[in-house]
Amino acid sequence: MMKKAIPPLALWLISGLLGISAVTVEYKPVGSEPAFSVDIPEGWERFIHTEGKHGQVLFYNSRNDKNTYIEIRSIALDSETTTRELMHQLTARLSLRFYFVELQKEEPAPFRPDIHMARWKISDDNKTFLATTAVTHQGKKALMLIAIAPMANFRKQSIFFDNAILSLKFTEGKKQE
Amino acid sequence: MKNLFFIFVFSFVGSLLTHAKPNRPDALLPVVSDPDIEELAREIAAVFEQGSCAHVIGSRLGYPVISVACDTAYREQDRTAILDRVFRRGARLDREETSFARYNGSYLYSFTYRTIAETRRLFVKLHFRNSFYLYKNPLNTGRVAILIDELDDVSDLVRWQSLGLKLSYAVIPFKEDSAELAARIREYRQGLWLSLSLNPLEMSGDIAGTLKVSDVLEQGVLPQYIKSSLDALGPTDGVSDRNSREFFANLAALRALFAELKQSGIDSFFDTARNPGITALETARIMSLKANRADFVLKNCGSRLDLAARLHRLTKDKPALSVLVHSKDKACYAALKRSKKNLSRNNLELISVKDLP
Repeated sequence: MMKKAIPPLALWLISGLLGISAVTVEYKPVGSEPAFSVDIPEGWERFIHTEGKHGQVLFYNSRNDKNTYIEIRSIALDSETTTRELMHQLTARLSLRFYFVELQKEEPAPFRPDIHMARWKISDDNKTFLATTAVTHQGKKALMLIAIAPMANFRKQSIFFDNAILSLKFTEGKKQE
Repeated sequence: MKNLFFIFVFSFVGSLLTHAKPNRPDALLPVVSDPDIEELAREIAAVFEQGSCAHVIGSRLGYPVISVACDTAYREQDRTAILDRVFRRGARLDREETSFARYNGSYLYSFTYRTIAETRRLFVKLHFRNSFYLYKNPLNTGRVAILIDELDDVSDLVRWQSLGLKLSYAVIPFKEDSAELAARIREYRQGLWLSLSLNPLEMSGDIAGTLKVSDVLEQGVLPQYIKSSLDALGPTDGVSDRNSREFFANLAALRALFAELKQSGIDSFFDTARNPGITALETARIMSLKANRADFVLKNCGSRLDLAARLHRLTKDKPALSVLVHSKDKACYAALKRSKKNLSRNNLELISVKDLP
């Protein structure tokens, strides 16, 4: 039990020591996509785009490199899905966006067995990036998170990315008016 | 001096404005909605086993891109099938680009096709992850799948397991230890195969009889025999043959066997016989079974045999090597034990038989 409390506690302590603070963002659906909440670093901007049953939110800090961001897709599905199917969808999107993506490892998120995490090495335009992704689903709704940064900058950003992943959850948020 | 001051002020304000300019990542891709492209994407994904792929359609340079992601192998026949789907729509292949890592690969195909008004382009990008075999991947070498054949004793299983290697076992059904062996192999997360005897006398249970292969077919013994053999072990990765020389010489018998295996939900066959002139492997493939043959039978292992070096030589320029060894062969067990450390030094990776391309 004690062991279970260590990573969130460690994250919280590290966040405190580094003076990193986060805000909880509640996403309210525009269409039929599910609502969710996620912890995002304070001061990061957001851009929302919706299309039918999909909602996409892009979190980024305009002072950062252009290729450092967290993208969350909220999806209303026609039928129930599997983690494997969601991983295919996520890979197809990454592959569409970048020249070459290499899956380095995948595993359930620590202490969040409902979230499936993966680590990717990405090559595009003679640059190398690292990405952490997460997928989770509940009945006919799914969330997909892609957190990416240039290789040199990834370590610095990973605290934000891990916090975002471990805080990601479906909510009962009502549709936007 | 005054000019310098203005230059400084302008450049400072300019840099501030540049910095304040939104620096939003271009991660949100446009999604193309075209029923024909959507249908083609579905057809491409359907070339692979159900559930192993998904697709997304986007655009590049204003032209549609079908991005298909899979976690399966990509063989030459898959490539042929995909190109065929696109060619049927009158498209021409202009370019094929590939990128590889050991278990990941991507293939970008550029096509052009003519409409009444213009020449259009289409991109198909395939991405494979967790794949043991990818067409033309130069990193696809050094993999070895070892099948421990004709296992019927728990003590033999424990001995082979003590090597701590990835192995697959072909278990003989209807023996005292058969059910326990199957259960333990599943628990050990190793490969489990049914070692199916194709001796007509064993099939009928009439050991003292004179039953021939043709009699087996005429009397309809095969379906019940296969069913009870499969039931004896429970779910397996596939079926391998035993005592099959006479049976495999009869093409009608082979076809009846493979049809019955497919009917029973078995989709993988391992040919251990390696009988010259016999086409079990080819027939299995013609009948849409995933089939492999033992590339190398490990036997007569001397005390000086450097197995790792030998396997390394055999796997050169080959995506994977299948090795067959009898479960009772203690000399070869000892040779494998001696060579264990050198397997990784020779860049050899042991895989399950079911992961053979």
